[in-house]
Amino acid sequence: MKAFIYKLFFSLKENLFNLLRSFVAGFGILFLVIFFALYISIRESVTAYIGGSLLDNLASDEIKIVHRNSKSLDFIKTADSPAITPALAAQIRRMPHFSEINALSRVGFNVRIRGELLGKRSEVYLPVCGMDRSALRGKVENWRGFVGKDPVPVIVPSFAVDILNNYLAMNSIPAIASKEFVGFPVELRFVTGKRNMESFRSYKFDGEIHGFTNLVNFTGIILPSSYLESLAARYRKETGRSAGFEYVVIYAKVKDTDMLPEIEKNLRAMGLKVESQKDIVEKTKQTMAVIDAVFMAILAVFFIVSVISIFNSYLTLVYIRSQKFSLKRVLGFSKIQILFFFLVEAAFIGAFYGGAGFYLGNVIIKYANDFIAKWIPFLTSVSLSPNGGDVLILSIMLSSSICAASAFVPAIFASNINLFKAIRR
Amino acid sequence: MLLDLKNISLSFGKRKILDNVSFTVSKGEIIAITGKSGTGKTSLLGIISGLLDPDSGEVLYKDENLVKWWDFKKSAFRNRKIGFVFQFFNLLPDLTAYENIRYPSLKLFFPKDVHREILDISAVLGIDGILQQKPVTLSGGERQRVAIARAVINKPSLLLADEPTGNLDVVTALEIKHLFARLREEKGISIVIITHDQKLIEIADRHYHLEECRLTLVEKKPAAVSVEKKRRASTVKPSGSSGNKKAKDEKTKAVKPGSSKKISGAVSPRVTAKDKAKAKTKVVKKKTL
Repeated sequence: MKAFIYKLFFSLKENLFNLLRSFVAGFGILFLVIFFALYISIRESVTAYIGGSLLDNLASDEIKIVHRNSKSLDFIKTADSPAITPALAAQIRRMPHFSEINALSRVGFNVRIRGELLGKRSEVYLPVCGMDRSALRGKVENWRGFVGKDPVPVIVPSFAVDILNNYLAMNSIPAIASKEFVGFPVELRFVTGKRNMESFRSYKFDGEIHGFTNLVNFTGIILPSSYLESLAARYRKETGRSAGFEYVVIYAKVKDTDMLPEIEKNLRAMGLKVESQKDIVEKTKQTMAVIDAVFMAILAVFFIVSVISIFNSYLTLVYIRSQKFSLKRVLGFSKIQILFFFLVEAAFIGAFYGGAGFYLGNVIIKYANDFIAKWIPFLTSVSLSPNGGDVLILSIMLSSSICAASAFVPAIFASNINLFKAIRR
Repeated sequence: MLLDLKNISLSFGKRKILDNVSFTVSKGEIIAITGKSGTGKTSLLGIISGLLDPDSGEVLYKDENLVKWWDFKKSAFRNRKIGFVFQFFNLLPDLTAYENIRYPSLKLFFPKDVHREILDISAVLGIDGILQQKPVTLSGGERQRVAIARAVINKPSLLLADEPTGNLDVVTALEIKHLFARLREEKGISIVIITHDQKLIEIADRHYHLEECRLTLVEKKPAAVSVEKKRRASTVKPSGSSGNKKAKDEKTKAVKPGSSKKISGAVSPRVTAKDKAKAKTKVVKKKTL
């Protein structure tokens, strides 16, 4: 036992010395692992970015319908943000292929929301999005109650709670959970047209907070679509003008997915753009193919350079340590033992560089977020997130095996060294 | 018979190195092999130890042909049954003398504790004071003694020495000579020495010369058999008996004149006044020449 412990410590000491000496040999792998970590992060971020849509990912039987020239989902009407007209939306609703239709709409009013908290009144102008209650199913509590009624139910973005809680904290008041805000009274004022003009109208309604959500990625409030539609109809009736009520996007569930190609064809003929899960997957695939091709080409270069550099370094190490290897053989160590020691040493060094490369990669990712838009313009909206433990393990394993594989041929040389020639050198 | 080489032939490419070489090594026997550089003496040691495979022929170790063994078995054989001593010592420079001596014993997964043996053999070889030093700080003689200690630490039955005194001064070479003689005498180790040193050839029981790929017996001493017999006799007969005393006297006279100390079955190498005088005369002669 004493001898075994001695051997253990002796081997540790000897291998530590060897590791320190051959440490630089694996340096080439560092760049490969850093780039690998960057690649994984960018790939995952881009996949998440492309795959994520307004109402999460589309289901296999769901399609997303927008105006043909629509570039993004704009809830504030501008000349450059076309949307689906109510007439066209009605036409879609009449189509027999759909089992459910959920629409997100907008209205051409300025909307001011006023609330009172801690005796202080606060007013903000916000964009408004109309939404069918069925779109909220499973996403907001009490979604059934989200209909046009008095007081008007208002869904607020979740971050508003954080802003409010920050405000409360500044006033030394404990934070309030989002649920506590449900039923909180607000005042809504819809204004359109210029004052002193015939088209000018101002409508005031009482509302209450119905819930909070991150469902729609915009800094405005969500009201029931039917309510906005009735308001627009009222304005049109009073003034004979359009209230700018339009549908930004329509999500429709098809009854028969086999009919999807035909439905898409019909909708495109109506001047609409249709996206299904298939399209999103296709789009993701195309983008990922570009990213993969670029990164794989760079990774391949790093891989070849790393393998050559490690191979050369270990070949030099074999030459430097040839006397030791041959002496070991003479003293009774077998070829397999020498091969094994050499490969384990390379694998250890590889593992170290794998870990170091991973952490350096994460540091670079942290700073790359600021520059990524300049480097790769189509990734402007992508936010890179640092890799997790699974990528660390993958990096270590990858680096370790590449190092060991690169050192394999030198290890064979080491185990087959010309003993007496080396010993006499 | 410890080792029996039968019709060994070896070539490197088109160059023939050994041609039908045969010889035997008995237990406790010292064999000296001489020959010009490049005649294949070291290759012969490589074949004996299983580091080189001959083109044809057999290397029988206790009637087992080691040429047919797998590398793993050959390695284990080298580790446990063979000790190597080289001209350039071949100590591992990063390790201390103690670690160098212990190194071969660490080959096994569960190694044998040889600490006590190292201390004993170090005392015998007179290197007990330098065990914690690294080879670079040692003299040539000290390094060679460390190398010999390393070679015998696993208690081998065969010691292969490749010009062990080739890099040493005359006095140290004499010490090594006596050490070899005593290793054979007291531990019964067979030794195959490749050498050009006449002093080492003197202690050999048989002297071979390797020339033109063939091994020729130059000299065979009948004393070789008697030494082995005497060794056996000294271990079997009770101490104090006249026979043993006689054998002891002969042994002392033949192998280790002037030495009487014995530790753990071995005695430290001592150079007699006569040897030193001889060496000095040789040096003076060299100088005058």
